Amino acid sequence: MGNLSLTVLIISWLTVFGLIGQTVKTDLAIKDVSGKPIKPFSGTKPSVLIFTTYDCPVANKMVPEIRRIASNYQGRINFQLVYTDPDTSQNELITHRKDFSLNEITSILDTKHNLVKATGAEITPEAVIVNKGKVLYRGRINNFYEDFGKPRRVVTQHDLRDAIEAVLSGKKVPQPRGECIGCYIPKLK
Amino acid sequence: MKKILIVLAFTALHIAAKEVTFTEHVAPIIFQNCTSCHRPGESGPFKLMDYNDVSKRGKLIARVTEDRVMPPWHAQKGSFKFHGDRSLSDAQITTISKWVEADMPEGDPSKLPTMPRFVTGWQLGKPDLVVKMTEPFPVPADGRDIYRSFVVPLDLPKDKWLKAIEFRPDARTVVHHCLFSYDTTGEARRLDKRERSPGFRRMRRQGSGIGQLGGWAAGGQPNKLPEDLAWRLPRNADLVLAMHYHPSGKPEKDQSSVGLYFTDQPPKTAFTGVQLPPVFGALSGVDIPAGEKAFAIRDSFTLPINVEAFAVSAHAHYLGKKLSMSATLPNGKQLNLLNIPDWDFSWQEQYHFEEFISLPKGTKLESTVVWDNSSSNPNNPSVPPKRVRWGPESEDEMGSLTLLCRPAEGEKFSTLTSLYRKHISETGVRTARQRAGRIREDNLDDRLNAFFKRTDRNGNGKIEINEAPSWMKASFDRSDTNRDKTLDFGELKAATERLRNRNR
Repeated sequence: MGNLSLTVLIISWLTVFGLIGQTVKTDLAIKDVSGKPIKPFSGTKPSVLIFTTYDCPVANKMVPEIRRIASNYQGRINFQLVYTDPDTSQNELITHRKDFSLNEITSILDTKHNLVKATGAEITPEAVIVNKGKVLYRGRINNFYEDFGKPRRVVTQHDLRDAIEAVLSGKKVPQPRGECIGCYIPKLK
Repeated sequence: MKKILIVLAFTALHIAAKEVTFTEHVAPIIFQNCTSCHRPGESGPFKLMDYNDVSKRGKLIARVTEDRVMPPWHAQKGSFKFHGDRSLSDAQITTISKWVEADMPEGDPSKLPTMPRFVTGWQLGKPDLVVKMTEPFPVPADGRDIYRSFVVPLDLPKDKWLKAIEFRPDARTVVHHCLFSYDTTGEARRLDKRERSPGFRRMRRQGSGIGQLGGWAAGGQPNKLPEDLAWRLPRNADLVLAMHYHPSGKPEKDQSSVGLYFTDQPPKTAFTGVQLPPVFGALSGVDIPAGEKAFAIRDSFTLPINVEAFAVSAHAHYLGKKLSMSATLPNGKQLNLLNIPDWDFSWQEQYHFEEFISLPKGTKLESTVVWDNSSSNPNNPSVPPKRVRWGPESEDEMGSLTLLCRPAEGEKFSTLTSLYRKHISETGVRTARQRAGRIREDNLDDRLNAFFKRTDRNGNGKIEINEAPSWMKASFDRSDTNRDKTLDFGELKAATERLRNRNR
């Protein structure tokens, strides 16, 4: 039994980190929520993707920080919000983007999980950094949520910001220091 | 034979794992325990009403039920059942996780249980009086939690007997809990006027003319006071709502409502709260050093009459970690009244026993409050941790447990209340004595320092035998524990302590 759980643990770690450094197609072309064709991983700037849904409470609580990161690194990164629930209606999408002041941020409704599969995202709100076709970071935004139901009073580790800084200055990209807490992204049937 | 049994057992397990389906096994658990909040118009962030809703969240549901984060219920199983206990059994949790492992089969649609008939709107029926916050309160998109109090005039024509208060949150994603009290002193109105934005920070005064009336937390069910018990609500009382808001990520406006349920029948007995330690710990010397992982305060009180208890509650702020209350009956039997092993200040709640609990005269009530002021406590509002003392602000600390009880038939209520009042004053006196004791210790250090400087004439930091006064020479060798023929400050202090201890 002990061996079995160890094996499971090792396999899950491999799947988590196995995708770091994996390559994505830089010419992947999709449409954003307004119908405009975009290439999420192309260009010279690093792409930062945040996976979310309109009704994940953990992801929603993170929106103000998501907006701050988008505005702090404006012009230096290619920032995108990816809605992962294919059942999301246009109305829910519009309401969410308006209520949470997200209209300025490039957003994608990933109906076919093109981006979920390309990056290996599993949770909302998970962050992924892709640079020159390589996944350099995947994991939590910060340590606001220590565990389910345990938000911190004070955020002390800004994992995503640290990773963005490293990518921008060409340094080794630090990996998340803790589990990404949030809502699991269900696999497409 | 043994082998066959094992094989049989495994086969049984295998079949069991295969057979877990939504309609037959999982839906009953979800409908009974989750859907009352997870449906449109209630506090849950998404609905859990059919196969699609539940299978989409299956992995999350398995995780938060295993972690016992959901359904929200923080009391461990104790000696008595609580009304509205939302916790799942181990078997229910296993059923959910097995179903998720088996890739969440839907099962036979004909086995789907009918959805319980949930009451929409007021859970306790139509209230006798409905009041609302007088103006909406804006809650920003993010930042720290907000504590804010609001005064709601009731304009009652005469004194009323109050059976229950039901709270209907308005901005459901941000309203986390609300504590009710009444105020006849006008204090709440004064404080409200003084601040420009809606509401005020908190009530400053306690005591006569101000009374607690229970509270509400997200996910909680309203309760009427049992049997004939009721609160007396004075004619000129204002209702005070002490609200706790969690920002949700988008700006909100809250204007919550409250329903009051009255009775014309006056109760046969009054009831009271035995709070241990009293005054939310104000008199118990709560002074938690920075970094301290388990700072504990204990208090106990022996009941002078037979009582019947009907509810128990706990209160602490961010740093509270473990809160528990037990009773030792005169025959030695131990009862666990409330045990919250992993306190979460977000879920202040009153736990109502399903039935009255008889506690005979001579029962010893004991409470323990443990705080965690280390940096490993994610709830610590200070990074790095700092010294925290008792106080009313959420970053100060409080801590106590309260048992609500009435006197048993034929018993005198005043015997209980007057002994409890004595307990309050004794708690204060005891803490004052301990403080004074500490000050005397501090003075001892000062006095020893002065003596040492005076006596160490050559100023080398040591007292030689020729510097020592004659009364000291007699015990000089015994005090010189490191045998260097001199006394340093440590040796002098140790000798003095030994002397003091012998004199006690």
